[in-house]
Amino acid sequence: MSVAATNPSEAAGTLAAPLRIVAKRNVISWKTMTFMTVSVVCSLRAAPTMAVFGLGSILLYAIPAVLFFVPETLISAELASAWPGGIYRWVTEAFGPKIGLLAVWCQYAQTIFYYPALLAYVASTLAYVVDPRLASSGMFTAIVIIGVYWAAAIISGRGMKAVSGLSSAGSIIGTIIPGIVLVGLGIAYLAGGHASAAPMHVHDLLPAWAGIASLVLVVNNVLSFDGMEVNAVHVSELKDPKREFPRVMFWSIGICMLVFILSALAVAWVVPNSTVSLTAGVMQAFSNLFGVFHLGFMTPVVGVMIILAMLSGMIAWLAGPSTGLLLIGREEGFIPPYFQKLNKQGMQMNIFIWQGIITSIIACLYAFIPVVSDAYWIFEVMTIQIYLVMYLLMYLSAMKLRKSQPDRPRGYRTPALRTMCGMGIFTTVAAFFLGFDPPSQFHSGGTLVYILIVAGGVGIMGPGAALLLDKIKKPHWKTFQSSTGMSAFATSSTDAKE
Amino acid sequence: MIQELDISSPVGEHPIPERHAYTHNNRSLYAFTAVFIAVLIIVSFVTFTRPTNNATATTKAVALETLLKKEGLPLPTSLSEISNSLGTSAAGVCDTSGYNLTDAIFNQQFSVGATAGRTLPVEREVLDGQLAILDTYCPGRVSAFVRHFHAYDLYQLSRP
Repeated sequence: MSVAATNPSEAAGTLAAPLRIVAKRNVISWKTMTFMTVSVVCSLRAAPTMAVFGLGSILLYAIPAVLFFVPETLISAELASAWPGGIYRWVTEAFGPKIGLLAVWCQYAQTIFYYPALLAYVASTLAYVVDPRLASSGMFTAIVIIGVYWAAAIISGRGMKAVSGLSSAGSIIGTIIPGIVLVGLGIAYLAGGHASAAPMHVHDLLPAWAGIASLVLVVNNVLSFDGMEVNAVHVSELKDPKREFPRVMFWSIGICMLVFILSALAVAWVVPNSTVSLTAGVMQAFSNLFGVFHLGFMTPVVGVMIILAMLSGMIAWLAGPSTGLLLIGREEGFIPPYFQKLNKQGMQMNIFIWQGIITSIIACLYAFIPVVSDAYWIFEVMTIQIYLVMYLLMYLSAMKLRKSQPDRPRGYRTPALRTMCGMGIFTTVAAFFLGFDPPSQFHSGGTLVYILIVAGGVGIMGPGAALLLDKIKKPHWKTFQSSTGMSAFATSSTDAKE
Repeated sequence: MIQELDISSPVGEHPIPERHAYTHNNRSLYAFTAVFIAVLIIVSFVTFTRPTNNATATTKAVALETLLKKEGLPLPTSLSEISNSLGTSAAGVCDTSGYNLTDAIFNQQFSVGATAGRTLPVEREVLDGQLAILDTYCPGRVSAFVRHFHAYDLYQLSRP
């Protein structure tokens, strides 16, 4: 008996057991999901980097926000309010399961190289507050990456309630509170009669034009806003997804914009570019900031808070794309039953475990082999190219579904959908092609070599891997079938009513 | 209408694929996490070495300010800002410059987004400023730092 097919109101008198489960399922409030989304998308990590651009950072955030963040947010809100299940479901509805697989794989694949890099950053931040010399220790870095990943996997295995509780709390404690402190100190600095370290004239709103680098600067910054759609996969866990998910999106966009822009400006007011010293990551900039106010003792506290924010973001990421992979795997038989197993809390522990094994291997390579750590950023470039393919498919799906299923009830309808999708597609394609422009760090060959490396990696890890999953799929691997394309987990009460 | 093909296997030991059938609360997990964070803060308070602001720190700050001025780089508004944040040894900068792992972190610092997959152009003033700090506080780290970053194609922020 599937709970998913049961209308809760009808079941009240007859099907006590399923009803009991349904009654327990709306475990995430819209406020919690808002902070989960904030933890996925934004942090204070970028503040010193963007502070380098001073007042220009406003425009560097505003342009990508209009061209990418707003369309991404509104379209995710519409799709999630009509089709629970996240990206796999939206793309499958529009283009069928094979393209749905490609989309969800593109979302999942980029996490493979993301976790080791993020946790290496956690290690360097931790080293800064414990002993900065540890930051260059391969052993310390490997232990932190491996230890923290497995701790996060165990926490995620405790269920969505634990994931949502910790990730939202982490974003409040690690991003919102230190962000308010940071901005407060910046304002106090200016109010105390100090001149801003970065020029703050109207003409400084425009970043300096330096040819292709400036274009790269603006377009690449659209990726500052990636991840808004990740939590859509959990939309069924909201009480009223159709109304609440759009609300989640609107609050998230507002909070993220405020955090990004104000934190960058606060650092720019106080810390001159020449003393930002970014090899120590975000911490040296914060140390400089607190040094100005004779508040050096605050540095380790903020360090721990920032670590907490990064970990909360990681927990939210861990539960997101892997759920999408699980759902399409169960409905279409793309992944072996072993990976479809759920623990008591309904979490895909076997996927976490195998990703943990891969993460541990990558962590060792990253920490102990200099050539790998040197070139690691290139793997991240490849995976973000793959992620952009997912966004392209999302925008195309939104347009197709508006046309093919116009009467499908939607909790929220994106105004001027075609224009929104057009902007999103334009920005995504531009970011994709600019991804083939060698960045400052690449000095091991010509542009052609770089293009071939990135294109090869994208082809293998993106469509290549998705194609392989499609080839090896077995009909008997399907463990759940949805004749209406509903989620392999229980669908929302809203769906049940329809 | 949804049909479940097989609710007993191979979905694992839990036949009903219900993510939502929570039977326990997470109070112990939250409590453990809170204690862990508190311990981490206490440890970091004990181990974190705050920059020492004394006569030596001021001398170093003067030297750095002179070098920044000579290179035409932006200056902090006062000497005490430098001495308060870098102290006598600029340990946070010196101990993290010119090593493979920390240089990788530098690259990551210039990447944007939740998944940090796209790097922004590296701004020249940032590297030049860090070089000036190394030259003043730990000249021994300069060569390793320059070796790593000399070939970077840098973004020039300052206006002509």
